[in-house]
Parts: sequence; C-alpha cells; structure tokens
Amino acid sequence: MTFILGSRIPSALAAGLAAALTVGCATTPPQPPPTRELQAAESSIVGAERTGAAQYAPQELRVAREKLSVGHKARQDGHMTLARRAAEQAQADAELATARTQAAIARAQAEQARGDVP
Amino acid sequence: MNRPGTLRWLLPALVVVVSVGCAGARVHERGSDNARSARANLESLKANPELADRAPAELQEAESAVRTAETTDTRDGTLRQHLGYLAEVKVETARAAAEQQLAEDQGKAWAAERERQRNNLSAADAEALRLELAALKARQTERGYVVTISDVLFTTAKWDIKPGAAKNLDRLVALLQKYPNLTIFVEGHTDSQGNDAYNQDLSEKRAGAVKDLLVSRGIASERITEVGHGEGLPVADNKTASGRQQNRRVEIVFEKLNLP
Repeated sequence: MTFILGSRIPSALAAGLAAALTVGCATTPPQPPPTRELQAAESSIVGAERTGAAQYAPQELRVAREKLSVGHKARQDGHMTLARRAAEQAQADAELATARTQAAIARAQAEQARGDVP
Repeated sequence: MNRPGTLRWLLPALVVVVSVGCAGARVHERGSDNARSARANLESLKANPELADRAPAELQEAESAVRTAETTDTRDGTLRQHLGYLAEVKVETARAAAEQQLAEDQGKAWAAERERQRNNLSAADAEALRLELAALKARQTERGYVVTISDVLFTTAKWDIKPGAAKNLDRLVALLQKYPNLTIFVEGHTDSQGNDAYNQDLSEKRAGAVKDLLVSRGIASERITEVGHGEGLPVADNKTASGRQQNRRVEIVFEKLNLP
C-alpha cells in the first residue's frame, strides 16, 4: 500500500491508515473530487522544493509527496474523503517543509553574520 | 521502508477504525491524542519569550487548527485524528516560522555589531550617532544612511554653494569630526534641464564643491568619495520649479552604516 509512510512518522501513518480504512463505510455520503485541495497540495510541494526543502527538510518533503500520491490514487479509486484528507495533510506537510527550510537558511545566515564579527 | 515496522502500525489502526469508524461508537468524542499534544506544543510555543511574538500569522493559524481539532464533535475517529494531525503540523510550522524570524533578527544584530566595530564605535557612541543622524533627517536605505542636502543648495547650472546653505553642512562637519572613523560618499544630482553629459558634469562639480567645503573645514579627503549621478535619480517632479530645486541636491551616503 503506497500510503504507508515511514515508521518515523507514526502519527502521519496512523492518520493516513485510519482515513484510508474508514472510506469503505457505507455511511459516508458521496463527495465531490477534491480537485482544489490536490492542486493546493501540489503547489505547496513545488513551493517547498523551490525553497530548498530537498536539502533542508527532506523528510517532511517526502511525506508530503507520498500523501499527495495517496490523494491522487484515492481520487481515481473514488475514495473522495480519503483523497481530500490526504491532500490537506500533504499541503500542511509541505508548508512545514518550507517553514523548516527557511528557518534553517536563516540560522545559517545568522551564523555567517556572527562569524563576520571580528 | 521497513515493512514489519509498518505492520506494527497497521494492526492497531485497523482495530481503531473498525471499532470507532464503522461499528459506530455511540458516544460522540472531541479531540484526539494529536489534538492534546498539539495544544501542549502550542502552549509551550506561546510561553517561549523568544518565539511567542515572532510569527503572529502562523501562530493564529495554528491556534485555529488546534481549536478545530479540540472542538469538532464527531463520532468519526479518523476525522478527529486527521484534524489532530493537521493541528500538530501547523503548530510545528508556526514554531519554524518563529525560529526563522528569530534567526533573522539575530543575524541583523550581528551585522549591526560588525558595522559598529568596523566603524570603531562604542555601543554608546553608536546610539548617539543614530540620534545625530536622525537630527540630520537621515533616511535608512539599502545602502546605509542617506542625508539629503537639498534646501536651496544650488542655483540652476551652478555648483558653488549658496552662502546660506553652507550652514546646513555645519552639523555634518561636526558629526564627521566627532566620529573620525566614518567614511562617506558625496553624491551630486541635477534637475533635467540641459543634456545628459552636461548634467553628469554638473553633478560631479556639485559633489566636488561639497567635498571641497568639507575638506576646507578639516575633514580628511580620504574619508570622502565623490560621485556624480547626473539627472538620472530625481527625487521630485522636474516639471515644476520646486521639484527641480529638490532635484538639484547632494546626498551624503554613510554606506553600510548599520546601527543598532
């Protein structure tokens, strides 16, 4: 199952799994495909990549990408609730990747400025 | 990826889902373990004096995600878990944003310290200089502090300083005498009357005139670099007489001077 994420992210895994497995329940009313959420997740991931997340927050970036692919797959299979939640989590993960990357860059620059002081 | 490790998570999650999601727990529940840990992390972020005020927008977003996770009233355990996860991630994002701002602020402080040492100023001197520059109506720009000496300094097509205007430079002379390690750029500008080559020459003469005046008051010429910008960098509309007068000016640039 592609949505199984690394064991280092147990909460992501549990949430993803739980979401995946509930969709089968008959009580869920039909949902429209989460096209907007998937696009938002995608552009957040691209944003994170541009910031340098592959270098500074690879773990968070990987999680975001994996959840995005879970989302696309779930939409294809008609599991719209799972698709939407996966997209929302992917976007949040990508934004975290961006924020951690920017923080790491700012810290490196601050260190540099500190080193410049005689 | 570690398959056995994955399975360890798969089984409990399956049990939770089946019992809560499908069989339908009768009691609605609020929040989740994620929501509780997100709340705890958020509170510790808000209690951190270095970080609490540095990313207000992200903190607001985290607060709202945590509240949603805490208050959503649903029997859907997976939804609770989903909202809890989002809340946790948004709190971490807010923390990272605040850490970024903190690092940027520290970087600026180090850069200012470096400038202070480069200019050989004590911390008290730096503060005094900052006030004196404010009295000269210095603007802080990308390049450093810029003092504009525009008020009736030059007549059209002339570069000799009007007698009254020279008094405006007294304060600058005093400042340069008091802080002997400061160096400056003296940069001349013209209005748009006349052609470019003429104005380039005129702006250089204006810069030179101010430099000569400073040197005549005892400021070492090595401390002063003169530059002519011609008519290319106007600060006011060249269509009006008063605009043109503002454009006929000299700017004193304290390059890279970055005071605390």
